[in-house]
Amino acid sequence: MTGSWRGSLRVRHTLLFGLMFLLAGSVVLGGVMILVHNTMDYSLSVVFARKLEKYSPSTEPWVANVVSADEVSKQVIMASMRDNLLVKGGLTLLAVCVAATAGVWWLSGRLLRPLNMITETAHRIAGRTLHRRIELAGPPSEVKSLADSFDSMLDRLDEAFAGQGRFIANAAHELKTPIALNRTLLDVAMARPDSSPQVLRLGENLLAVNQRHERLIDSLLTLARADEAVTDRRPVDLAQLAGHALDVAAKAAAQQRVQVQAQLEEAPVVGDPTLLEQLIRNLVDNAVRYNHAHGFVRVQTLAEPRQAELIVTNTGALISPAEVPVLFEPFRRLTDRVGSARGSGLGLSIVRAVAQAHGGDALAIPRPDGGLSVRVILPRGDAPRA
Amino acid sequence: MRVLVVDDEELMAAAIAEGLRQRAFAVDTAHDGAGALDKLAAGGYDVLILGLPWAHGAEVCRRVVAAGTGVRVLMLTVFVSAADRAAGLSLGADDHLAKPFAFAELVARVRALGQPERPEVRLGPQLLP
Repeated sequence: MTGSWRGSLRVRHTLLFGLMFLLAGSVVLGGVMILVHNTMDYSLSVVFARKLEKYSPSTEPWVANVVSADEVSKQVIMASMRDNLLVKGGLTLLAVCVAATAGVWWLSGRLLRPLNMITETAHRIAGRTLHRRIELAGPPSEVKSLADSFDSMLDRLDEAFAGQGRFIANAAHELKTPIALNRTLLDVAMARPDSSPQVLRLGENLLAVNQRHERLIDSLLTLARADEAVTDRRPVDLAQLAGHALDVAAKAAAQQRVQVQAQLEEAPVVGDPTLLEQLIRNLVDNAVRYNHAHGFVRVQTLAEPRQAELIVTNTGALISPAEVPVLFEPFRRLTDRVGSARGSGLGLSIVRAVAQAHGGDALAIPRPDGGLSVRVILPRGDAPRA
Repeated sequence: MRVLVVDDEELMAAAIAEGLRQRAFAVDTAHDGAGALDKLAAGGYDVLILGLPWAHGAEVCRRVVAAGTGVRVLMLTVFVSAADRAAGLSLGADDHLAKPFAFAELVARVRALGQPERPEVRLGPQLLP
């Protein structure tokens, strides 16, 4: 059974029914007792009266004694009757009540089992696997029709998500073809021996623009892939990936005069190495890019018993906590971060999408002196094979 | 060295051809699978640069490898994921380059493919990840 004790429909159902049964039983028992009391009272009065009807109390003085003795016997009989009824009836009521409650517990368990199945499926789907269905078997019923509408809703959702993924992938593919053509045309034109300096300059500018498009589309593709379920799962050490990303970023960091600090401890996870590398590279690139001269970038990886963490901290502009959610939205940059047009505006959206696709999450905390600390938490995997 | 450039994008094929000719390669172009196979049948090519869409490219690649003419195949594809790359190499392509590419890299790879094969410097399977 899922859910807490208080939140369980089954428990509430059973308690309510038991209480109602007890109440109804008590009312019936009370009614029976009143009925028996009145009937006995009447019958005994009639019997005792008939016994003495031939004698007149005025002529025979002993009749009064018999009448009072009869009255006492009647009281004794009725009291014994009442006690008997109360004890035996009460015990019977209690026993039946317990049995009925147990029956209701069993029955509501049976009735709610399909509902629990639906809940469990919904839980699993919340973990980003839209492929599962409830597929409730059995004759048509209210719960089955709920399960069936749930299934058909999932079908449509699944289709919509798949369609979206396909659309992004196709669009990125179609956009990349002309960009590839541009790149080759420019490369070849600039290599012509008769190219004038103006043409060369124009070519360089166009190449730079083309590269921006390339990066944007690559990011879109990464984002589209990260939103789908991760299919390629392998043991990966975040420390290794981070070390690699730092090597790649070392040149840019030196140019920006940003100091790089690394505290890399083994942090094993299981996931798509390409996506995870993209995640780390985005974080490190961002940390270097949105920094100021003589600032620092600190990259930490560590492993907790259940999770692996990557923390990338950088100095930079002041960011208010209210602005943090904006950072994770696609194509949104903070106004004072737009200074550099090199970013695609997808960096942190990709980081979060990749983290969530791996069952983790990414959180950003602004530093009081400016800059940002981004913490990526992923479920811990087995140590990678050497 | 003789190179055949196949790309359904005529501008692309022409640009690659021009760039390679600047570097003293002998280059022919084709724009579809049938044209490519016709030209290959005439023979004499060292390297085939195959930039057709995936389904066509795969078919041409399979046939060229099956024909066993010894032409080295360089596949040019848009968006190469690790899986795509593996699929391309499993068809028997000798090398793979993702579009968009730096032209200098294409030239370097074509040169390397056109070299007579030297088995001792090729990666053994134990060195592949």
